[in-house]
Amino acid sequence: MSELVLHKISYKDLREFKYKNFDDPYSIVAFITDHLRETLLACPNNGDENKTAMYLMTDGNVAVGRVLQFGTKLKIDDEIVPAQTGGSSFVVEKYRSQGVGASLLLASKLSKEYDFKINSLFSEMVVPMLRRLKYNIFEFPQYVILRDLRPMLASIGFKGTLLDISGAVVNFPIRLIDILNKIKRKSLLRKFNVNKVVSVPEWAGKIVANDIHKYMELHDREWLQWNLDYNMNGYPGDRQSFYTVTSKSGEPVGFFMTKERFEEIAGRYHDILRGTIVEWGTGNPDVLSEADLNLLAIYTFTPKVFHVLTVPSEEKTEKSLKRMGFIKHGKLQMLVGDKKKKYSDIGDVHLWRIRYGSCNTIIYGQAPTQIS
Amino acid sequence: MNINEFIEKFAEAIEIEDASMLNDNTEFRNLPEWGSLAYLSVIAFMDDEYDTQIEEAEFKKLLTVQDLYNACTQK
Repeated sequence: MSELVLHKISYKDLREFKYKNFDDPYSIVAFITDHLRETLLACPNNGDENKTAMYLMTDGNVAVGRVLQFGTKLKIDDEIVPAQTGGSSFVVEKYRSQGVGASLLLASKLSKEYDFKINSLFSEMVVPMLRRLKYNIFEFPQYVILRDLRPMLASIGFKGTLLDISGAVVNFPIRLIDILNKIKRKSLLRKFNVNKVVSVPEWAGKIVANDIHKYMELHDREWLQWNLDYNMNGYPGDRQSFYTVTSKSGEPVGFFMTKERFEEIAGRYHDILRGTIVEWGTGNPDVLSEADLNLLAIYTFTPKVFHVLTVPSEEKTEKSLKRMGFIKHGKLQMLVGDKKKKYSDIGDVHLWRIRYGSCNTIIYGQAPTQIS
Repeated sequence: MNINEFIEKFAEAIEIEDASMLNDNTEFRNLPEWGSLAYLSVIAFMDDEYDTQIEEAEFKKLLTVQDLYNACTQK
């Protein structure tokens, strides 16, 4: 008979490898690779080591479900408050009907460690549970631009000359759009310098903090640097890049950040490299707009990238993206919780600064799998 | 919050349109709306409205709406 027990694994336990004390035939705990462990421990917003790194459900001593947690910060007007984020939830299939997923979600909901919670990228399957838990759930349209369809052809068996010819044919429309985009990009590069950097400048964090929205997950310099330096899987093809945009005289104007993620299995296809424009900021949108930043970003990706995803925060950006060749593709979901109900308008999406790179999305590889 | 107000909030939490169907003796697990989602909603509601957190083993002992109300108000 099942004896389901919920365990709290703290950051201290994570540091001391105590999460490895469970039997793990379903690789629930093995998911925390050394690489992921380092990433979580390096998070600049965890604060107290007694805070929860993972809720783990066991049957006897066998790990059967998990959800990871880490700290982040919200900026609400001029106030900065700690908040909980996380993800990577998973429940072994045969335990899903026993409410393991619900128990994990509840443990996170009832935790007293933070007054605020923010999450993104969760399975559609958990949305009904999240609504019942009275979280505010936001949805934003995602846009994608195809870059190179050859990996898709290769994964369905095309090779050699056939791949080269077929690839050239299917990529032809993409290359046509590139001609138009590169003309516009060239005019931007006559005004600005775009440089890839390994150290995030302080002014980038200030651009984020000076955003006009009332609410945001605070992507300060430390958060941006952490996301630049770490990712979850550590595949050779997984990388993050940070670019500064300056005037010709060297004055900061804006920035953007990208990620590329290698996926061994992506639906019907395999060995696909996906790109995302995860963060951007501008000191003056009349000088350098959100659309401009997305345009500059497209052409910084590895040529083998299959597609580039972005989530615009303004309607006028959506129109510009469509002219660049982006098409609407799915939705990004986020949830926000205010435990003490301190802010009555926290559920108003128009008051939020939104970026695809939020919560755990940058360190993530693939989309999360089912919780229950 | 008195028991009637609690019943209103409980009905809202588990998405029962007509709270007048419920009373303090209602055995909530027999309601057609009861299930894992309703359980989640009730636990969240008890935490949000009453700052009451209850272990699963303790919750299993609660049978009626009155039991739920008592668990929230008698701390």
